[in-house]
Amino acid sequence: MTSTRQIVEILRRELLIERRAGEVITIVVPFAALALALAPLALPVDTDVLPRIGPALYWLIALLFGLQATMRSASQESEVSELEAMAGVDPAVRFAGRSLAAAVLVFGVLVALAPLMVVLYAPAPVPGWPAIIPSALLLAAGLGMLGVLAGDLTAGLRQRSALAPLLAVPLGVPLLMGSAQGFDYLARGAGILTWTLLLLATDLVLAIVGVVTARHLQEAKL
Amino acid sequence: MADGWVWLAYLAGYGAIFAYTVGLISRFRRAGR
Amino acid sequence: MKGQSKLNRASQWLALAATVAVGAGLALAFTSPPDALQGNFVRILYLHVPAAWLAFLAFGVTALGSVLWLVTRKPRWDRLAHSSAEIGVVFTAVTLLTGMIWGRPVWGVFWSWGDARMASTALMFFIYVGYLGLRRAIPDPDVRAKRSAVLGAIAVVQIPLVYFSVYLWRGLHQLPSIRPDGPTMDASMLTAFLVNLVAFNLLYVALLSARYRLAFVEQTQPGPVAGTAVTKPRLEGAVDG
Repeated sequence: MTSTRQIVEILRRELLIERRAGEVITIVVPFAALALALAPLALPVDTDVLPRIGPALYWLIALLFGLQATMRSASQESEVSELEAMAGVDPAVRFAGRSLAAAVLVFGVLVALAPLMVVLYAPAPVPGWPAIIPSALLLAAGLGMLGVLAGDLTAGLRQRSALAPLLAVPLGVPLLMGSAQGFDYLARGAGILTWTLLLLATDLVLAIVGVVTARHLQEAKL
Repeated sequence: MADGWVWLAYLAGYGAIFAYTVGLISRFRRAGR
Repeated sequence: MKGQSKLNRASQWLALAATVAVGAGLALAFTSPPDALQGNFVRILYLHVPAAWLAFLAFGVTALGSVLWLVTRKPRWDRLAHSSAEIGVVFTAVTLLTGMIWGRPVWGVFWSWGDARMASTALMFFIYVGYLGLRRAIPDPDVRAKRSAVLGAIAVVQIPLVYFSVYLWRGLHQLPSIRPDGPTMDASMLTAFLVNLVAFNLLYVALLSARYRLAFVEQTQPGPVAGTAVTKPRLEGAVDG
């Protein structure tokens, strides 16, 4: 089986696991939606900042909860990885496949939350907003890779659920800023090329690091 | 008042370094037992 | 073995040199003339700027140790990375604290998001904390070395991107420069600054060598067998088995 076929297989398998036993649709998205809905309750009822902060909150919640969506439960993780390690699958290929699956899930979260944010915060309409879609895709890819890396670094640890986000979030700041600032620039009529390039650079760096360190991480299962 | 901030900064900064150094010494003692 | 826990000769001399240098730096920091613009507050910078330099240097050493461990798998690189990270987090905290204390009288605010350096330093602090937290959470030394090394390698490539993001973001928001007196610094101020810089470098090396030694001692020492259950004194009348 070629590497590409393997990646596609892993992608399919991961998404199938998500569909059968996963928590993204049933837990992560509702929780993220809840967070988005709660923020205005923490502000004065007659505040006028909601339309301005809506998009910013959206991207922030996307970062925080998007990473949650990439965390696979520990038991599922180890069973599958042992099988694949025995089958001789290249760790880099595994990383690519899993990151891709995680990215798909994150993008799902982004797509699910966007209309909710528009409804709850009533931001000013942004003509040409589709230009943010490439950024959203790059954000999803970056968070996917970051989540897989953080998940692998904390695999088998008791503190995993708290530690993994702590590791991933600071490293994910360029992703947050590339998308949030990019959207803000778009809304103000300025160009978003620089921010999109930042996202692209971050994704490339994460991809290279992920592939290079995959071998080391996958030996280190507890 | 001008000097107050300066003293605070040095107290905080060197205090942290001193605390860490002392901690290091006590960890050495514990390891040597 | 008690002897092993002492620092060797070189480390002791290093500690002495560092202490003397720091003392000299302190003396100069308080006897050098006040700045034309900032007045006495410039003295905080004799502490803040060297600390910031060291925060980043220590981070670089951690990154280097991480990569070298991944390549060679020699325990010494893991020890180096860990030791430097611990010291780095202290200097990062000092940088942030002194930066805030300087900012209040000079800029009027404890914190300004417009300063790319402070924002990046704050983020670096969290990355350090995460690194140390990860190490603490892993009991097995080999797995611990492996995973922290990978994290170190990831962090070193991401940190410039983090810095660049913040730099891009602040755009035209320029804040008054930290450097006192414009392009030319008064000679005695420059001396105070340089002496403190050298002193902090010595301090870093002294602390690093001590912490590295500690790591070596802790790693090569076997822990208590079966933990305190075996070594804890028993109550009178306790029944065996």
